[in-house]
Amino acid sequence: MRYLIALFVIVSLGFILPRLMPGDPLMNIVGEEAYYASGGALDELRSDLGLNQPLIVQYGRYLGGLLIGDWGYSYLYLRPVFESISEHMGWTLLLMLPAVVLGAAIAAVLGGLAAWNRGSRKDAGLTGAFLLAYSMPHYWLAMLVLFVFSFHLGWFPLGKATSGAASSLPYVVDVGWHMLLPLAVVTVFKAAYDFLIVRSSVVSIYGEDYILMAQAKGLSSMAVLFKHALRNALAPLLTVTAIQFGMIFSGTLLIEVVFSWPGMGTLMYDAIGARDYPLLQAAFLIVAICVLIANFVADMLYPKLDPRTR
Amino acid sequence: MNPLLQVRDLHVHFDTPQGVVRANAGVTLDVIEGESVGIMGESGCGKTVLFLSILRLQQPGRIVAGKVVFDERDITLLPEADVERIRGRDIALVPQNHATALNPAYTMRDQLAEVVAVRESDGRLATVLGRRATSLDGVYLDEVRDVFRDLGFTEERLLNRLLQSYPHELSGGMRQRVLIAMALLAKPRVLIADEPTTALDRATRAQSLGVLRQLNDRLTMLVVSHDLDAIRKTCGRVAVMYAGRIVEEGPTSDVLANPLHPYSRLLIAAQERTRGVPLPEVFTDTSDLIHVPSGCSFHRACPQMITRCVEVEPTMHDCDGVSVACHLYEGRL
Amino acid sequence: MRLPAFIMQNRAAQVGAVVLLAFVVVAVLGSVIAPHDPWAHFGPFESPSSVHPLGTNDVGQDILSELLVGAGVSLSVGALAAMLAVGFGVFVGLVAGFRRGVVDNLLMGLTDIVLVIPALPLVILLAAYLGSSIWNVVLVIGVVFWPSTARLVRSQVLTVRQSGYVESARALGAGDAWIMRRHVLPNVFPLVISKFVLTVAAAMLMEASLSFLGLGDPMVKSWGMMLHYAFGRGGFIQGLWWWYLPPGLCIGLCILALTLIGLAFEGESDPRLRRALER
Repeated sequence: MRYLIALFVIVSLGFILPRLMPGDPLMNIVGEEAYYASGGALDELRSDLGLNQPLIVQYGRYLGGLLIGDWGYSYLYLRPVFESISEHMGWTLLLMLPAVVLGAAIAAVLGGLAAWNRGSRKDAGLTGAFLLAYSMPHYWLAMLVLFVFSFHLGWFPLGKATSGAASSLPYVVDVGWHMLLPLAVVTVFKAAYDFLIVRSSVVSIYGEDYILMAQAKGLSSMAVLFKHALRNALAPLLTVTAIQFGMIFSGTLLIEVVFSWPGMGTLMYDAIGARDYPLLQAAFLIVAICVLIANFVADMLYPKLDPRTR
Repeated sequence: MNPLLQVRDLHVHFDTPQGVVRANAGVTLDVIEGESVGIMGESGCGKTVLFLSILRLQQPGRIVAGKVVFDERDITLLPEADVERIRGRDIALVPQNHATALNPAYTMRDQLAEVVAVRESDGRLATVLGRRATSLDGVYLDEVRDVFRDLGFTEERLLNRLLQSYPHELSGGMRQRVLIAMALLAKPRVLIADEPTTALDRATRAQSLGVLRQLNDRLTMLVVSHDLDAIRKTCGRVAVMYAGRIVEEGPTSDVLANPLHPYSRLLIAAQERTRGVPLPEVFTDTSDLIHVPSGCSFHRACPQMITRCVEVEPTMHDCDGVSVACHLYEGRL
Repeated sequence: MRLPAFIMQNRAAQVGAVVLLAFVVVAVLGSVIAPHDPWAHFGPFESPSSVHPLGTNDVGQDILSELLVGAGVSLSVGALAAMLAVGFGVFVGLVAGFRRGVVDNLLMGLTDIVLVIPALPLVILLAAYLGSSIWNVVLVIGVVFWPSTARLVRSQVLTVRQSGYVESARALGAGDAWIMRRHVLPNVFPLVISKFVLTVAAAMLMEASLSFLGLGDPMVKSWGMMLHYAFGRGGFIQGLWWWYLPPGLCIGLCILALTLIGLAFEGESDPRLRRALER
């Protein structure tokens, strides 16, 4: 299937890139700090990593390593890359997944209402507001939100995920409190994009014969919108969510940086600063895999939403 | 006795980039309880806008003048909630396109149950999402069974399979039956059939017409069609429309056998072609709906035009039981 | 040409065009109208004053001047990257659409894969390896944005190829090049323009994101770089909103303007008109 091929290409990219890019492949593989730190031990390092062997063998070692969890070593954090990523990934998913669902739901309802009242002031207002939210860089929005609600009003913490090592319920509440603002920003990010899609979807659905039929059956305007129109806009929304998953992921990473949220975003931010290539490469790999999984899941769910494809 | 449905001088306009389209330019029609009236005309004559306006679903068109009186109430003036109560309950629609008139995301059971739910309470969101709209139990299932039996569909097993199906899984003829069933399930007083034969093949067409003819006795019907044969087989009276107006109206047998208005003549002749006789030519231009010609809207294409036709718009005159809007018949009062 | 007509009828697009024009003017005249040389050093972290209407940054450079000069950089990077992406996309789309067969399958396979790969992480990786020059940034952004244009162009080519008048032209002996010139390009053109405008917006945002993360070119002043320093060098922590708010706002307004223009090409008429008027 397509996904396996894409996976293969992405994984291979991880192998090819460091060797293709300018500079000593060794540096590209271990990162700048490590490279300069090892002084004269470069050759040792090279043979340790098997860089003197034929490419095919190296490729084999690379794939094998990936499967057993050896994704390289980060000299920035002084631990295997895989560990760093596992720790941070959870936080990112915690932020992103609820935001995706919430954002889609908000966009569906508001997009439907806007399309239904096409041309009215309600529509203009909603569309204008979402267009604005869509255009502003979301990490900038994050800064704005953080500034107003944390600096100024002090209603929320200034960042990070927790303020103290409490456990069980107090911990959950604490994380929740920290999560509210970044979650809101990512949700707005997702909703802004989806709103335009849903609205345009519903506008074209509006002209469908089954909508007229529903109206002729005596259903109220809201009943026609929510039971008939939106129902048919869900499938395209799912497709769009899958296609844009990578974009939402990227946006979340940037927003995490602003909130010092301990997810993949801050990980990458630090890794960039230190040119820690193994970490950056692994991050790319894991994000790409997540996107592939999301697309796969969406493909599985699609027939449930559109009976015609069963 | 007052007619059940009265359309009085209805004017419906559409705003388009090319100008204002006068889709209905003064339509007057009475429908007595129990009768079947056919609305006949070509594409663009306004028959679709007419029945949509009766249901007040003519948007984005605007009803700029006239009234539609049903049961002594003017539909054009009622609040939306009241109109919703009339739609699907007092006046039901059997749409033209069976392929697109059913929501592809819901099963037949869901779509039929919805009709029952609306009929038994109302058409609000809570109702259509509620229990009754998502299942057909007991007495309602019996009703559905009865309706389908009337439509010639008797096998129990097949009925169950039908109820579980999605629209795309059914044949055209089957979908048409479901649409008629949905309209009947609503127990309406008026049934509007939009082009009941156009989307069907010959065999299914005959079946459909048969069904409609049966319904003749039980319901008041409005059959909108350009198909002469369909009108002849199902309607006691027929009105011929051209350019947003009714130009001739009377008992079907009279109008079809002996059309008076020059346009009706051409229209009927075109459909009743006999071999060897050349097709009559009709030069009609739907841009007439935007730039309405002076006098009679048909005068530019009329083979029997006289000077008066260019200047004065004709009004309906009775001519031995048939009303016709043409200057040629005005003398015979 | 139908392009002007759409803009004329669409008020939102007109607003967008005006705003964009304003920014383009600033971009071109940036260095001329800036009150100071953006690279000159004054006192650091100064609040807004009459001398420095937006204050100064961490190394004492005038923020307003940075902002004005940054317009040119951000807009040019966006435009160049978009030209690269759309140009390549059109090329691929045309080839795939005309050649069909194996070439088409290969190209579309490649397109699908690039589409599925998340853009920012890949761009980060490439930029990290290639280095922080502004040209690398343009290149790297161009590399990720070509697939959607390619897809669009290809489907247009296929549609046109199957249309009646092209079949007759072929029957009369017309070759690919002629068909491309006479039939395909005029149909594809408006769509490509729309795609281009929206790609410029996406590219600007991508550059800003890259710079924000620290992969931008420190030798140039773009709005994204301003945000990077504002955040990373204490501007945000110290609440110096006059430093980090303006660049983000400018990016946002440009993207809004571009989006309004790009979306104008998808005109919206009431879908129910067809039903009522054609029957």
